Amino acid sequence: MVYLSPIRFSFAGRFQADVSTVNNDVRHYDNEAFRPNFQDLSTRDNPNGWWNPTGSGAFRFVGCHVTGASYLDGTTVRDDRALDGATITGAADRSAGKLVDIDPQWQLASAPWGLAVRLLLGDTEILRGEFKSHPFRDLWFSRNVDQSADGAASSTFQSVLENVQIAPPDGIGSMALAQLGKSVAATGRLSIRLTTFGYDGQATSPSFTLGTMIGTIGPCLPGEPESFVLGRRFAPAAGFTSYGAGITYFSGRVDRESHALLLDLSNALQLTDSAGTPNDIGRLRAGILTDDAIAENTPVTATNFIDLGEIDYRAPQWLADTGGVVALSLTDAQYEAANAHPLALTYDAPFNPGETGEADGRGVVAIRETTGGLLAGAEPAVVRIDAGATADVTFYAARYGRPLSTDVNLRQVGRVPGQGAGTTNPQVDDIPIPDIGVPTEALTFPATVSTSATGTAITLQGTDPGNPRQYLDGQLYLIDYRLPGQGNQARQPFDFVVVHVRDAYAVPQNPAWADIAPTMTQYGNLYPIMSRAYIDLGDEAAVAANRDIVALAFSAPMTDPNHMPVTRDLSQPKRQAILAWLASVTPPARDDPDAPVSGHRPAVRQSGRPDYESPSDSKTVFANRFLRAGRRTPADSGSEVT
Amino acid sequence: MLKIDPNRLAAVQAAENAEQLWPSVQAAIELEHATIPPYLTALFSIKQGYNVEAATIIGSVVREEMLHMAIASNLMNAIGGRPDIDNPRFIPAYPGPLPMGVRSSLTVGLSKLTRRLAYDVFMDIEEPENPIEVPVVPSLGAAKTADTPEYATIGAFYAAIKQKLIDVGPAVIAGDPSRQVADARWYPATELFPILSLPDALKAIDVIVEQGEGTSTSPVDGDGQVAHYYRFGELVYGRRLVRVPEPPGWAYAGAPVPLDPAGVWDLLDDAKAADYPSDSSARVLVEAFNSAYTNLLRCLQLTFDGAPGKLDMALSVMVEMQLTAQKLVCTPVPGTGKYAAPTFEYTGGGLR
Repeated sequence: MVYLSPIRFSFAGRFQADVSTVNNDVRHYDNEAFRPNFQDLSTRDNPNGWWNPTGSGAFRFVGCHVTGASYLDGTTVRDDRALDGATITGAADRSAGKLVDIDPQWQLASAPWGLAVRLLLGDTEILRGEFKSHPFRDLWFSRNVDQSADGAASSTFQSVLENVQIAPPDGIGSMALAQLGKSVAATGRLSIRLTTFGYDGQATSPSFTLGTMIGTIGPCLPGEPESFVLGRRFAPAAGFTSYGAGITYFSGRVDRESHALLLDLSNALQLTDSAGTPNDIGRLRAGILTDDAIAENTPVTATNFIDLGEIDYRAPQWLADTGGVVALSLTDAQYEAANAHPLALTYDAPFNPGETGEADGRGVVAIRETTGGLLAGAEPAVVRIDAGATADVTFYAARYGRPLSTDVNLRQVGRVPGQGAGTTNPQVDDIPIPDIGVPTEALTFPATVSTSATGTAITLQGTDPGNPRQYLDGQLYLIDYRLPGQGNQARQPFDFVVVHVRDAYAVPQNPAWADIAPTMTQYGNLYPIMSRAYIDLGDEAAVAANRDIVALAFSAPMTDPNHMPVTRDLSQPKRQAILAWLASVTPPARDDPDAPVSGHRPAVRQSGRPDYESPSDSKTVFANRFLRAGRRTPADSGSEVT
Repeated sequence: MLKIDPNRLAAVQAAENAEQLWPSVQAAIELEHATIPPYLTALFSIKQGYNVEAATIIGSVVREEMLHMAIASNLMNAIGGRPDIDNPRFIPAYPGPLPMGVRSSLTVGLSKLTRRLAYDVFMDIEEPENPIEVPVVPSLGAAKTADTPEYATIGAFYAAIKQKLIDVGPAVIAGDPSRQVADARWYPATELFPILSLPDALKAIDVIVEQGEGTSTSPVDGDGQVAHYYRFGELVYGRRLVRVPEPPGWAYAGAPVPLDPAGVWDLLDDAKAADYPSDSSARVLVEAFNSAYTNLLRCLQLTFDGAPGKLDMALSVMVEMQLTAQKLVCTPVPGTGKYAAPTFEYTGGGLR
């Protein structure tokens, strides 16, 4: 049923993403060329370690509170205010969750790890679950019309909460909670969607590393995808946003039980500030196009558009109070029509044809469902494979929201040069930027998958890519998937399955520091919060002196918030070598009072806060490079070239 | 000297069984914890790369105070009690007296590191019942001498607990052994060990007292480590403590322990999160710090309340707290000309 359900609750507040940025430029992975200033904050003249080099990776809920809930009374959707004001927060008995890119050469699929979600009424925990790691989707860069770069961006994280513990409903008086409890009893899971925007990446700002978050939690049924809605997919006709209305990709669902149309506009509509104030595009209505040929920005008429109602997005606090979810009741006739025709939003365009006698004054299509109501989806969207290992990816398809049995075609994107570098900088311009996607032979999978109602898994096989990126482990591959003949516009431009295939590595019998030094030095370089303030992972003596705490982090499971490396990009054999080395060293006597105190190593001296503005544009820069036309020559089929 | 309320001593002496000792051992856990925020604030105030010797000294003391808190918690479990750590009342008010302390005797706050702070507060906290008058070379005159004890001392308090345990007899150790916390990765087995018998309990208390005070005849404990009082003396007098031929056999005459005030962040004294403007970086960071600190207390509660394996997570949360503190202390507090200090406040209900 997913979060996009009549049974759900919404919350709003802020989030912190204290991501580290030294690793935002792939050239910083080159140990040979690494300079100490790559750990410094950027200046006007030098990008250095970008805008938050000492980021901890922490991903936290800040001041998030429940804003509303609803439940099903028979087939009627009703409001539930019993949870209003309740707190949404993270774990109280462990470190903060982390937000992590799969690779510096793919920064458009950041995922939380080790993130717990808890619902507190007063100080009493009434719900707790573990956010399964799935990366964000539907990232766009023009949500805030008055901002630029990452501050204008927005995206959604959809996943499931696992190992959910939920309080018995007695005494709480929330029907929504009681009905979610039934879902938990059946599956142990709930569906969750976080939408994040308004990120502040200015180191000089009081709200540095904070942004706005709205969220929705609902039931989770077995067999449904975890990280996207297998439902109604709305897509702009070209680019990231629809013409005029500025609406990006979003999902909807027609609920069978309640006959409600549910639209997730949490990430869809443009804003004028980071708090969520909508950009007023006039009256916005939802409806059904009875003629599939009606395109975006086209007037609708009484004969080709069934009006389902107005969307009250301009109401004060609408986004926070609704979680961006619109629910419209459908009559039986509307319900039948909605299952057979594309859906659309309409608005009064500035040059509304209604004024000229066209379109009966009903406005034009602001955005519409994909042609034929078709959707192809895949998860997980990011995959990590050691050489010689496999991983499964499950594919789904739907037509007008109903699961569809069809072929989905898969192919490697092949060689993509120039990804994951920053702007021109004489200090790094000489360092080669590795191509991604080659050799293609190191990743194999079927060319076609036939989907079933509950999805069909295929197996990706990774073999040793042979260190094609040299200073960076393994290789990164993009897998394009689509229904036969489906155009680019039906899929969000960043919708790939992204695979990191790690290099083969033979664990030495008795690893020496020299064996693990390249890996450890790289982490020491890339994460100055560790290396400057705690343990320099590139320093043999420092690592030996802190052997046990380092081993603790390197042996923690991936889902543990303390797992090292934070990027979760280390292959199992390289990890084994590190752990074997750590087990072999003798730390200095612990009761030596003159032993160095971690945290106060005589490292590079830290300064106070910056007094200049440093732009946060990591995702923007990455995306612009990726989207730049002509990045491959037609002759380059993806095979190795020199 | 930390002057203990005589009623505390009397309560120990009046106890007739293990259960009646629980409040006293809980108070000991609270006291051992209560020194950590002041010491950590001083430690965090040191700029990275500066005053390395001073940081080493304070860090080594903090590490042992954490050990003492763990030992006292083990003792609580050993006598069948339950440590109460995840509780806002566990944290003393700063500035204020330490737990069990006589209100007028010593006020402890959260301040940046100065020699004055180390002398007036830290050495006072750690002062043994009969400190050895260690000369300072080059001479600045005799080092700090003892007050006349008019009150019970922490040494006397622990001695009374030892005596009471002996009086009640070996059956006093009736706690569930699986609740004992010991992990040689973090503390050697000579320091942190399961308390499974009366001799274990007595030995454990000796570790606390000797690391804090030394012995009555030496500024070093049984393992040859300089006791806390004298370690802070090194900081105050600017020299390492070394053996010398002349009586009393020790002098502050070793390697210099410089303290460069330029290498210390000028922190706001005795700050509370509410002192930082609600829309400031300092406020955001201090709330993250307090959240980590509160999570640490919760992890320790779990650790000493039947889940010893949770100690690993407690350590990880401590690292997170430390890394947050290091960002905090270089953050100006608008309108004060000072930098943001950690405030060690309990935060239920998540980040605001």
